[in-house]
Amino acid sequence: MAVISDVRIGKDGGLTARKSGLLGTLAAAGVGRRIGVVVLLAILAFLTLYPLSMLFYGSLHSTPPGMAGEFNLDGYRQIVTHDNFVILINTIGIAFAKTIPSLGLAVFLAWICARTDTPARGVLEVLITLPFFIPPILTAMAWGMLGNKQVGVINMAWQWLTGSTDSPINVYSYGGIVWHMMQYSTPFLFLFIVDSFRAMDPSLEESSRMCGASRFTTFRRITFMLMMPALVSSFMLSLIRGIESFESALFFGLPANISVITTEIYNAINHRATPAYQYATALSFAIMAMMFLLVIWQWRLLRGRTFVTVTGKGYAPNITRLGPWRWVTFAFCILFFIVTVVLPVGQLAVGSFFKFFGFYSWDMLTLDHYRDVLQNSDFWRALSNTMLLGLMGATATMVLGGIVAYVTVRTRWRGRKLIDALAWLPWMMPGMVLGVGFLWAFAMLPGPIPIYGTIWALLLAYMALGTPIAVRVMSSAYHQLSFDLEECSRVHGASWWQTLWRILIALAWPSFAVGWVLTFFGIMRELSASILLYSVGSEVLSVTLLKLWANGQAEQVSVIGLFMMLLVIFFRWVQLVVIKKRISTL
Amino acid sequence: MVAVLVEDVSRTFGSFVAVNHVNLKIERGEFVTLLGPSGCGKTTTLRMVAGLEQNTGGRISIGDRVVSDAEAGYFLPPDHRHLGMVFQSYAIWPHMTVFDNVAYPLRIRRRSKAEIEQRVMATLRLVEMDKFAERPAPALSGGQQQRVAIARALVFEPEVLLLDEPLSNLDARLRTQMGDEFRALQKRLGITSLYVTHDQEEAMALSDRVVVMQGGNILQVGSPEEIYQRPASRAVAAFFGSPNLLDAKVTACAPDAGGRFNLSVAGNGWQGHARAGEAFEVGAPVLVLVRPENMRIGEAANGATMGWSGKIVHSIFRGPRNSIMVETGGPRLNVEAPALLGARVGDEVRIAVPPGGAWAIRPEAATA
Repeated sequence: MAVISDVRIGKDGGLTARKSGLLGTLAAAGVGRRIGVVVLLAILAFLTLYPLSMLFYGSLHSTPPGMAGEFNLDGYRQIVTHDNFVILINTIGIAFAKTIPSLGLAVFLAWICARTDTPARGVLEVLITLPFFIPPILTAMAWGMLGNKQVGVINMAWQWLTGSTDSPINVYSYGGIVWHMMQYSTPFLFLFIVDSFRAMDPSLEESSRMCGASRFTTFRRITFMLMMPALVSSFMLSLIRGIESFESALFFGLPANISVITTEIYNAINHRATPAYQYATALSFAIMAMMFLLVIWQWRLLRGRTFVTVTGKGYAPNITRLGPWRWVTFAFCILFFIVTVVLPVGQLAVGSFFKFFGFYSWDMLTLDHYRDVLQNSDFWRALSNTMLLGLMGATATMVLGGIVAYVTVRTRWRGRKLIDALAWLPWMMPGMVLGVGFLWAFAMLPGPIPIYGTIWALLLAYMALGTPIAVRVMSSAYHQLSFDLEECSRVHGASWWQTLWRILIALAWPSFAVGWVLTFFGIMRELSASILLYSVGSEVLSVTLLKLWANGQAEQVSVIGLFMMLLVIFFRWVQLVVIKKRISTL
Repeated sequence: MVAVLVEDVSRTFGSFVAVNHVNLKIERGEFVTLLGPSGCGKTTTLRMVAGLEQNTGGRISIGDRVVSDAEAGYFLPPDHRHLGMVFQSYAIWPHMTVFDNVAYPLRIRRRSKAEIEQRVMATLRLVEMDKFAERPAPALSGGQQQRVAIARALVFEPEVLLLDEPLSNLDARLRTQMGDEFRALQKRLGITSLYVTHDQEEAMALSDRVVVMQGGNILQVGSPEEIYQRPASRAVAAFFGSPNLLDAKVTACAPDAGGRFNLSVAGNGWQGHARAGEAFEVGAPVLVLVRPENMRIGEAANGATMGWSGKIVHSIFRGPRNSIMVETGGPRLNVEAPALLGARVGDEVRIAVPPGGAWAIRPEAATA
């Protein structure tokens, strides 16, 4: 730290002309600060700008990454086909088809949990949000088994009930894709909307009632309108995620010849005799351009609003008394939980104990699959890779996010807007697109840097994908801390570093922990980038699962899936019980 | 012994001047209040002394150290200035107990555990919060938080204590009580205090000297009595209550023993005597300030004092007194009358001003 020399009055020419910064600057005069900003920018640029620019480069390059080739526009020319137009319509159509009902359902569930006297609302809320944390690949496989035309449990139950021989449910269809996507997006939307409902100042509705409006009119003209911004922005977010989604279309669309953009990119690289890199990259870049526009639109809608859970100031919102109907709503929530969690988990549990999935009789019970999995070295390797990547990735991402958020929110340094923009760039890149970008990026690195095909490739991709969330979580944490707390510490003698450690970090660590768990979940479930960047030895659980499923080993899939599910539930319990308790004392 | 010296200090944000060439000298042990409406620059001045903002012009010294000199490019960060500060929001750290909050400045300075224990408990006893030492900070009421904030600011015996509207978040009754308590504490410890507020009564009750600010400028510096009874300008006069400012012309001017002047003034249909801080030429226009509580109802008007007769057109009961508006032939007068008099709307009354109750100031060419 720089030494500040004291100056006494009466001494001429003894004043040192050294400018020190104020709150949020490093002790050294400006130079340390500038170095910090440059380093941060370099890291972020490597994680975001580099793959992005390589995407553009690759789309013009006629041969796979690493090989010599020429530059042409063939990739883009191949995009403009009739089939691709159908694919585009599919993608957007499916995204809309899943967002609208999800939003309606989420609003209804949120209303139940936040605004009625339905019993056990706290527990219901935990149950309703649980599907959000389950990796989609697990639910995809579970529903694949449940809704299978020949041996799916649902069809078998229907046949047993009605005695007919046809199977009404075929999960390999548009309906299946949308159904699966809704499993994830309904709790996702619920998380945002329930907070909106709860954060509303009750006096806004009370004054409407005092003016003579009925309860319904008040809901229509006041409550609903006040929620509009939250509803619109949640809709946009869900729509964007729908376009970026990969697992649902992979599992339920490909067997039925339904393609969306992400699966088309995947197919172009993995399912052709000669991978069509240029075409896939050009397509990725085109998608990214479309996403860019959507995200800009979404950002303008969201500008200035923090939508991550803002702890209210103790508003107790108006409760609607439902009387006996509250048991109906209770049953509805339980039904939701059963359909979205119990059924898939149950299917996985059941599938893991029976010799062949679909044939459920007592003599088919076995523990063989458990033995097979536990003896499978691939599984253990994938597990250790996933845990390692999860722990390292979550920590690295949250630290990066914490620093970026601090620079953006708590300082007035030059360059912080650029830092913020770079940190948000990955938000508009679907995992698949980022995967393609990093493919090129790592392949084009100078020889001695061994990232391509190693576990570090995955780590960097996960960090890039997770940074926007990390920044968002830490930003909202910092926003809630008044500057007074830091200033008071400075005035009473603490240096910048002491203030950072004793005040800011001490107060922000619960949010850090929450973000860490969220990022960890995200890494565990990540598939679209992993599937492009993995290689032998660096598989992760989601990739292993996909390979097993493609090989028809649904039983082993059930075992691993069940195990992952339990891991998720455990971590969610940790987050709720241990961390929430700390946050609520603040 | 000068504790704080503010020399020609300014703070500009682009073209906006928040603090305009302010000069202030605070003696050791003095309680000085910066008083003014919001946006007058008082908080900015305080924060510049604290080091939370950097002055764009001028020099600030604490004790015999220069802490900030804009022209020389020198700036001492706040953690080196050895100050204590009480914030408007109290800034009590929610993740610590009362004890930890107050111990913080000592822990930062790496004092021994024994010393910390002794000093913190002594300071907590001073503010009567010693029973709450182990209580977690969020479990405190507003008044309690404020005491803890004061204790924290005092525990390491700073050179100067800075207070940024510390009472404004308390309810009215608690405000007066805490204000008086704090003043008693400050007097006992003899600690130099720089206080910022927009509440006139608070400023007058607590301070040794009051600095009235407006628009980034200092309007007047003086003891509370001086500011109130003998304001230098219309702006300062109008800041307190709703005084009567009467136009008049000087008919005679003579110096008195105390360095001030006795004027004879004549207004529209009335005449009388007033005191002034400067000499006026005969025939010059003046503003005669008569505070509503200095108007007496019912006394006979004679040539020696000013007097009016009129009718009460407005009366508001305020508990200890009535606020009355009287329509005379000339000016409309605000009068504060004791409630016991029972003055009612429609009553015909005579109003007089006792000797010494009128103060004359120069009317400004531009509105202040």
